[in-house]
Amino acid sequence: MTDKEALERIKNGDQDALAWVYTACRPKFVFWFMGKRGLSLEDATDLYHDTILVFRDNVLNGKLPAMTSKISTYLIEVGKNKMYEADRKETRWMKVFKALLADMPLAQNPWPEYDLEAWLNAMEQQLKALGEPCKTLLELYYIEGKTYKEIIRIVPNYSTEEVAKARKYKCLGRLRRLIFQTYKPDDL
Amino acid sequence: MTLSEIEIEQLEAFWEGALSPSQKALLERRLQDDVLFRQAAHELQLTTTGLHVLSDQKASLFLRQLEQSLPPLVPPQSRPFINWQWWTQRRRFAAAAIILLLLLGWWFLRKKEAPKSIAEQNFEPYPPLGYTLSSKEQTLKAEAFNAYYDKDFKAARSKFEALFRENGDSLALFYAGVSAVGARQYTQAIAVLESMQFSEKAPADAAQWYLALALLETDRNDRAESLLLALSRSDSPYSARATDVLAQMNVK
Repeated sequence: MTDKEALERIKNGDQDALAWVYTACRPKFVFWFMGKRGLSLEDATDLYHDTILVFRDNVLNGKLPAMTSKISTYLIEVGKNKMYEADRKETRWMKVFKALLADMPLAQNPWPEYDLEAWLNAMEQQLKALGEPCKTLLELYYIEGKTYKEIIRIVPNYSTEEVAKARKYKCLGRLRRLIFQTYKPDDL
Repeated sequence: MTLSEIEIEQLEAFWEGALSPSQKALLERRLQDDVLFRQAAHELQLTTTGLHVLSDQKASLFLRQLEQSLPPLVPPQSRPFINWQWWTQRRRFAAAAIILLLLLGWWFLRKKEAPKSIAEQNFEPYPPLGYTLSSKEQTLKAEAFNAYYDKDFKAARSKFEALFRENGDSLALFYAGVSAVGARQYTQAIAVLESMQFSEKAPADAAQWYLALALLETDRNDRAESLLLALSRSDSPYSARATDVLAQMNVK
């Protein structure tokens, strides 16, 4: 697999391609940070893990700059910046999520006693409670990062990308109401 | 408040920065004015963001499992503070350099000591004058020359000196000087032979020759050189040998 192919496949939510990049670039990255930055094997591997998550996020959200270098070189550049971030364990989405949660009025919060992890667990439970086909559709789009094109290939029920898109908005609205306890069983 | 599919689509486009300026302005105004819509939008944003966070967590878990399934990385031999391979190579260079230095030193020393070698190589006992070797003769003179013939120069020297003390024969003193050169007792040889240069009985040119050899052995090369030059320019039998020695000393 070439770098270009890998990027295209990751963009379509292909975890095998992500695994390929992870495996292929791992020794170069880890040994570079061990040799040049004096990290232990464990710390360098941990940094690599965090860096790959940033890379994945950038690919999925189209934030990857035009790749003039190899992925491994790009990862090292990301790692150099990531290394000094105090909150590097938090992904971009995690930071946004925390900020939104902090902005939420107490009365609006369905689980005010929950910490962040519990909040996410509860959300996951609500996603399961949403049932099919909404659960699969939202998982494919948001969690696995599949494009609508991929989704209609996986789920033949959706004849076109537009159908899948409209269905996704409907499911998202339902999930929101389920989470915030405004969802009525009748809506199902 | 329930959001319509169009409202959800608009809100998602708004957060992604995909709305036109006019659509954006309209939505911002509504978010500002409509409390229920703002609340619903906030909830929706939390929902979508939460799904993205779940996605990150799932990816993180996948990567952790992948990491565990991969063969452990074996760090390349980290470069130690002392790179033994490097030092081994350097040690070889150092050893070679030391050997080279020793050789150079030895060569220089040899060069410096060259006059001594020249002197040693050119020493030959002066033939006995007016004496025929006889094993029967038991005199001190006979003993001295016997030792001299046997190249026991140390013994010969002391016997010649004793003979000189006994009869005052300056020729005996000359042989004592030559014996001292043979015995490598150069300081004593110089002391004796200095006086012999002007002796009427002892061969002056021979005394100068042996004196020059002794001087070379004691690194007094200038003095030796002047004696050898004088000899080389004379019609002495030592002339040619003196010239050779001077040539070996690089003196023209």
